Amino acid sequence: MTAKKVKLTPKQKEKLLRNIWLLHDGRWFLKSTMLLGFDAATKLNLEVVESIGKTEMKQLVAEADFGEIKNIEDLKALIELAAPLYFPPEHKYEIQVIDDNTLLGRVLECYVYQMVSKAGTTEIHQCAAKIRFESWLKGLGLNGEVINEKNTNNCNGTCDIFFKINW
Amino acid sequence: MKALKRKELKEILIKNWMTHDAMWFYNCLQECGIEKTNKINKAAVRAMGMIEIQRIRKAVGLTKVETFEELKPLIDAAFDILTGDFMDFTYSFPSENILHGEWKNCFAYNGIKQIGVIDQYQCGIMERIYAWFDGLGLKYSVSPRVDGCMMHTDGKCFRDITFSFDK
Repeated sequence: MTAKKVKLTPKQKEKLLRNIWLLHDGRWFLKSTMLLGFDAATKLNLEVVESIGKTEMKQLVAEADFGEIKNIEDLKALIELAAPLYFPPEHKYEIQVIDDNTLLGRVLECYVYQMVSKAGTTEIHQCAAKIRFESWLKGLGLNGEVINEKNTNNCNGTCDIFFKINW
Repeated sequence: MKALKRKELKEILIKNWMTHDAMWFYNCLQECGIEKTNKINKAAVRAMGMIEIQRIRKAVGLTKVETFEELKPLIDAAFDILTGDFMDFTYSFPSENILHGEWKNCFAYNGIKQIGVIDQYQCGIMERIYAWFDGLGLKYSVSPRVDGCMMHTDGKCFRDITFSFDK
């Protein structure tokens, strides 16, 4: 076989990076489960998500020179920028402004649920979405809360996530 | 807000990925100590590395890697996709069948030193690279063989990896 000089497009590279990052995260969880047990690995995962959430937003805002988030439309625009960067294309969602203080992220097909489903652990998996998004708000210096009434065992891959902000 | 360039997107993804990895390491360390953390970190990165190189191999259109001439463009593609500017890493092919990698500075060394366990840290970066070659089923030898952190013990870090091919 002869050596090929194939040039990947930036989009292909971005997709590979995002997917391998998810793969690495999954392997940390799996290996932690094997050595420490599922409960300890879940606890670790939730702590890690809480930490990384702030970094995700801070880095994005800095790189994009996004400026201050002053109202719900600004928050919507930022989440619309973040979501395709941090979530794989298999993750389907809609984002809508409900009122001046409320943003809804409606998840139509959840990539985490798909992976957990394949692993057969939906009954015991703890969804980290609420923690991640609360951490996004902290990273942005916003005072508010995230409401998500579902967990992996009862969401069937869909949920409504409300961002309620006190401006 | 400015539009993000591809290069900036890549840096955000890699920086966040490495921060995410560091947070797994840090939280795991707090939970179960350095010995188990090293074990989980190396197992996770090895499992990930063996899969990531196959994904990149497929993406660049290589079916097999049986010669150094086939391996070189795969290594080029892997480093092009997976390394960020902040990693301060260079590599070369100084002669037939040899890959030389060198770190002027190392983000892992800096991070692990900061959390106070650099003297016991087992390098995950080299584990990842060895996992690529193991994942490809290649025969190779490494010089120098170091399990810990060379940047810590020697103030510099490099490896020469010599491959042997049947063809």
